[in-house]
Amino acid sequence: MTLKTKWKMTRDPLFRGDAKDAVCVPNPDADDSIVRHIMYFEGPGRETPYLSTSEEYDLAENFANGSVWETYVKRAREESVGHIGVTELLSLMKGNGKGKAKWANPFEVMQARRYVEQWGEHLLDFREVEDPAKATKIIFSKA
Amino acid sequence: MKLHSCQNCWFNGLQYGALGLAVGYCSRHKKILNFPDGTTCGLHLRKDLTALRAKEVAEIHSKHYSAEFVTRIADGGYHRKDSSDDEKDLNFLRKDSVADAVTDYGELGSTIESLAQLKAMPGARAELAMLSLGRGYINNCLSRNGKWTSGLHLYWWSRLRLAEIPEIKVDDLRSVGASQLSRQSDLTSWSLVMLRLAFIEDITIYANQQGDPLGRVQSLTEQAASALDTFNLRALSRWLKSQAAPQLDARLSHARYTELARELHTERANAEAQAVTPADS
Repeated sequence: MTLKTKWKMTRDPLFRGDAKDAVCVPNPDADDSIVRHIMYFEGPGRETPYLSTSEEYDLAENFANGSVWETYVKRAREESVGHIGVTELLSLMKGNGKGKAKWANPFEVMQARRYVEQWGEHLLDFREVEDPAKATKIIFSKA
Repeated sequence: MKLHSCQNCWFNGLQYGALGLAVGYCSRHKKILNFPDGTTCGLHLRKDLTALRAKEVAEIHSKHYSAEFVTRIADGGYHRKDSSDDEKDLNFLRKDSVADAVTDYGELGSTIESLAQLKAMPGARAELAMLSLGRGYINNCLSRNGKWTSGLHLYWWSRLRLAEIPEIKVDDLRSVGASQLSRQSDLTSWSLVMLRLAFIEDITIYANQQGDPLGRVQSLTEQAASALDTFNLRALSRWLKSQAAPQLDARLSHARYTELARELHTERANAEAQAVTPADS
């Protein structure tokens, strides 16, 4: 029997469900609202500077269109990719939200906060990345 | 779970997030949904948003997917195994009492009857089905120039249980998510109460559009989210009892409900009498 242990940034990977051949490439210049990103209002093809990842392989698999990929926070940071972890996301998403999680509708902020907790969601932040296509190739490998 | 998948659609009364059966059922396509986390269609309306927002998002969504078929999110294609209307499958599904009412919904004109059946059933899954299909029912009535009072009884049933925290049983859950089982149960219970509030808010929006005083209640989903910083079910129940209920009752008391219900009954009886007269004469 395996016990669920607390995810540790220095030890554990982050998983992402995506296409079979590659991870989709974020757009560093797209609208950087966190609530907009998590709530997926614009649906398929939307532009975002973030990539959602999960602490859990099984949860990432729910979002996969072919493969589950993995990376580590350390590896991401080496390519100037930022990391916004679960704890930080949860603290940002209260009321109308704070910082990049500020949003006009508090109900939608609250729904996004619930999803972050249920999915163990971490965001990888590509806003400071010059070549996001290259960075995604370097930091992700198949899980 | 993909937010634009069938599990998060008004027309699937059998699932919402972690809550529900292993399969869903689409009341528009009349099909069992075998792969509800990976399929969608152009008619999709999100359960996790209030009506106006769900419609805004649906407009974008409908440009990507066909309204005619249950399609795979990944490739937009129709895959036969994703859904089923096989009689054997339907009979098996109907062994579940909630699924029985859900699959009956809309058959032989039995919409409100199915919703009344669901209201009488105990359990979180029955309430989910009533709220989810109820949102579609009222929206449909309104889109045919109906009155907001077409949802009067549904509103009242939800108002009566407003502050009750639904009990989630272990076999109500489809998945555990990243949290512990007990936490997942709490978050699922929370999401169902929010669906209840979203449903009530739909009605208040429609009431507002038709100039009824009930429409003057400000967004309860937004009020709840502003007032409650953590997913604490006791605090939620207290807030619903002390803040939300009085606002609703001030605009629609039991006496006013009874009066509106009587008017509704008279209107229906007159409409039925008119429909019968030409054939009799």
